[in-house]
Amino acid sequence: MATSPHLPESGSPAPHADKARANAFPVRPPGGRRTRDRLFLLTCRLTAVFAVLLLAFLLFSIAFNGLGRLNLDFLQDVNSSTSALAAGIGPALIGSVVLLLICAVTAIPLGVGTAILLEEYKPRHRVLRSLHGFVQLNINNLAGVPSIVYGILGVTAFANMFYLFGTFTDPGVTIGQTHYLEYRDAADNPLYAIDTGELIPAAAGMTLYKDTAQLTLAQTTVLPVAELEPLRERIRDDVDAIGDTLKDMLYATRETRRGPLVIDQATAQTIAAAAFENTQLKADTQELTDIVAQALPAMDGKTSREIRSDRRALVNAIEAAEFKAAGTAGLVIEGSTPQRRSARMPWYLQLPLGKSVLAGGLTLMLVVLPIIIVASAEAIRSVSPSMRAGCLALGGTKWQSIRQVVLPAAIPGICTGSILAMSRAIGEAAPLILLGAVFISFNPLFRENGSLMDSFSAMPLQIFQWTSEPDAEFKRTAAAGIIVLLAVLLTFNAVAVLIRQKSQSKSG
Amino acid sequence: MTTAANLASHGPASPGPDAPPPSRRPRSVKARVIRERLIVGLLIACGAFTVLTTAAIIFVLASETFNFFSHTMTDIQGEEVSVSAGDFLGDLHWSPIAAGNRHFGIWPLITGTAQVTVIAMAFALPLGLITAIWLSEYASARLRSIVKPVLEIIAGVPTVVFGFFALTVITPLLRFDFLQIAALHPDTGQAVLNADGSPIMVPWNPFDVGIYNALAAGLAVGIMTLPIVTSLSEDALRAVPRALREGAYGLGSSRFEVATKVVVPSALSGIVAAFLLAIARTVGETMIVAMAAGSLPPALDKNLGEAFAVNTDTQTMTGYMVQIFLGDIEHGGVEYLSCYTVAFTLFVITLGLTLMGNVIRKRFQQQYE
Repeated sequence: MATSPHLPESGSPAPHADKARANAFPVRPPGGRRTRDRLFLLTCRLTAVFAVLLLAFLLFSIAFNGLGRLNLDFLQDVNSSTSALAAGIGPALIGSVVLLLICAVTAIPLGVGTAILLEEYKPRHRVLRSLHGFVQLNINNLAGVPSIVYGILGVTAFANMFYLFGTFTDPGVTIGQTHYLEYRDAADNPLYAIDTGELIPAAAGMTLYKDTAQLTLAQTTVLPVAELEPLRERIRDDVDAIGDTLKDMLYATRETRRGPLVIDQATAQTIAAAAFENTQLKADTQELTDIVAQALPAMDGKTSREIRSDRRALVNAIEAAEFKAAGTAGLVIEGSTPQRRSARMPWYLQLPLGKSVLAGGLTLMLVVLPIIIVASAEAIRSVSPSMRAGCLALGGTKWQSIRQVVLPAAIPGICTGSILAMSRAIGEAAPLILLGAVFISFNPLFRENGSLMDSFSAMPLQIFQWTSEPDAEFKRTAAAGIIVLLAVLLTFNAVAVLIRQKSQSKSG
Repeated sequence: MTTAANLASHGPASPGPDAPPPSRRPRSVKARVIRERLIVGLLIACGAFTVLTTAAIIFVLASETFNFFSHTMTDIQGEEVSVSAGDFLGDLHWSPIAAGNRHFGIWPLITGTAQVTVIAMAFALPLGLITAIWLSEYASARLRSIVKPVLEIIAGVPTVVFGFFALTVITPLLRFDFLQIAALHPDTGQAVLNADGSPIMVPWNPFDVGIYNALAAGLAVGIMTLPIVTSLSEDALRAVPRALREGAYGLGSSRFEVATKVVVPSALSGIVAAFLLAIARTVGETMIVAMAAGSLPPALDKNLGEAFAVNTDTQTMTGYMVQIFLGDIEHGGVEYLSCYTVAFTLFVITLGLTLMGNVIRKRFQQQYE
């Protein structure tokens, strides 16, 4: 039996004395009191055992369901709407990490700043003091606001910005976005011009660029339409003839009508050479022969249907080479109208933020801010006042005492609080329901043109969606997702506990 | 200035008296004063941000609620709907998406929220209080040092995990057919008999629990709030001065008597505050109810049994918001604005609870300072 921490011998007065007192005063006999004490302790222990069993049961049910689905592919794959076995948590995992980074970068400075204000700059004036108390009460109340209400605030204030700047698809303010006009040359390669606000048809003497990023100049001559058509016809005829020869010779290698192609290095060489015989191509036929001869062996063993697209790609490559040799590459056809396009830089930013990863991260910042403030304030409060006094006595200013004495001493507590706040943020799903998307087929920020304005998914959101699917296989997938989420959380908690222990051993 | 830095640095390498002087020249007093002012300004801006957040929440919810009551809105089908505040608070129906027959009476949603909250608190408050008493009055310091971090970790488990638990474990357990009854013939209503004259028995569950039900959701929310109740109540119990306990022990009380007759009554306001904060958390809980409770708020105009039945679908205020925001909704439409109005109601309720909890807790803390 565990002894009381307060009075180790409280439960064992001498039995004779008890009996004597029981006779003297008509109160309940001591045996009953002790039984009640023991009974209560038994209840407590049963409760504890019940709680432990419940927790074990929870973990067991998740492990039982999810461990089978957990593998490296699951961590990388994108979500699937049809097959639970193909669904992975990849984009959600990356989305959660990015959300967390945004949340940490914004919430920790704001939270620590507020905590310093509340703890170190306690005003003396009566009005200011009541204001100080109001801010403190306000923070405690913010901690109790349901997270879905923060989600609604996030949608209104971040995603839509009160509709002050237009809508997400037609944003009022954009940064890091360039608009340009895209022309196509005769060989269908894109060429660009700077957007002046109107669509200018191609004309002689235009300045065009090969790419938008470096603005490399392209040739500025424009191909007159009168010259284009005969040229195009000639090239098409020549290339089509080559394509037909290729097709016939490839199909001739089959042993049966629907059988696979039989191509070895030698046959490939023969076919390629035959295809370019008797043609009047301006391009280097030897070079083209080599390209075709190298591509053909890959078609060995495939059926004629399977190689159709490969064959077409070869013919297109020959056509492009011929256009280039004919001197038309980089020449825009006169009078053609461009397309208006835009390129986004990695730092692309727009107002309103829309349902973007930035809006999600900022909303999570609102959710965890009170937690960080409360934890940091506690850590700052626990720094001994004599250390502050020492600094001030040596001539330091208020801020110097905070920056060089209080904060270094409070850092472990602030870190622990921040990590626990981040583990709250990573598990938060309710506010993200309003801002996130469940089906993300790419990894945000790790693709071309990725920016903080991309839509996102997050692990808890994905788990919610999987659990809501009626298919039992999706429940298993959800359990696997929960295991990943819990693993991340446990790591966070372990780090927090380590920091706490380290700081305790240092100060103790 | 450097001395102050040395005083603060915990590292082993603090420069001795021979160390070279700092390369930075000391700033003028004026520059220092300006910097101090600037920093105070920055910190005040940080503090103002939290006030601004509250103001923004109230502004957003109140203005859209005002729009909800003052405008004639169009729904997804293009039908015109207008709702008055009287309808919202007086109507007993909640059918926001039934075309042509829309009712926006908040009471069914509040009843749904209350169902889940009552179940959760019936589970979490007694268990949490008992655990807190055990931790603060009985458990050894070593045991407490193990249990407290574990409680912290459970408190940090995401609510979607509890939602998953409710839907895949608690609900199937509640739906488990643990009794056997005689099978009845569907036409005659008579028991079907075996060849030897004994009735054919089939598994049966008397509670008729649905796939989505308030009970499983409430229990899961209760499990989720248990560590919060325990932790906050334990803080309250441990804040009771030692002298009170020692006085009681000195008079010959048993530990049970000290706990129930001295410590708990002294910490009562702290415990009440803990309970209020836990209730506020439960009322605002979203994911568990969205996953396990279904999407049909209780009907209030039939009979009481149906209104308070916990074995069937229910919907809370938070559950409704999730349902609407998961679908495609149009800005300014009736569904969109109704969410803000429901959110405002939820905000007012939780704000009242947390405000009350925090004020009581503060009073309680001052009582023993």
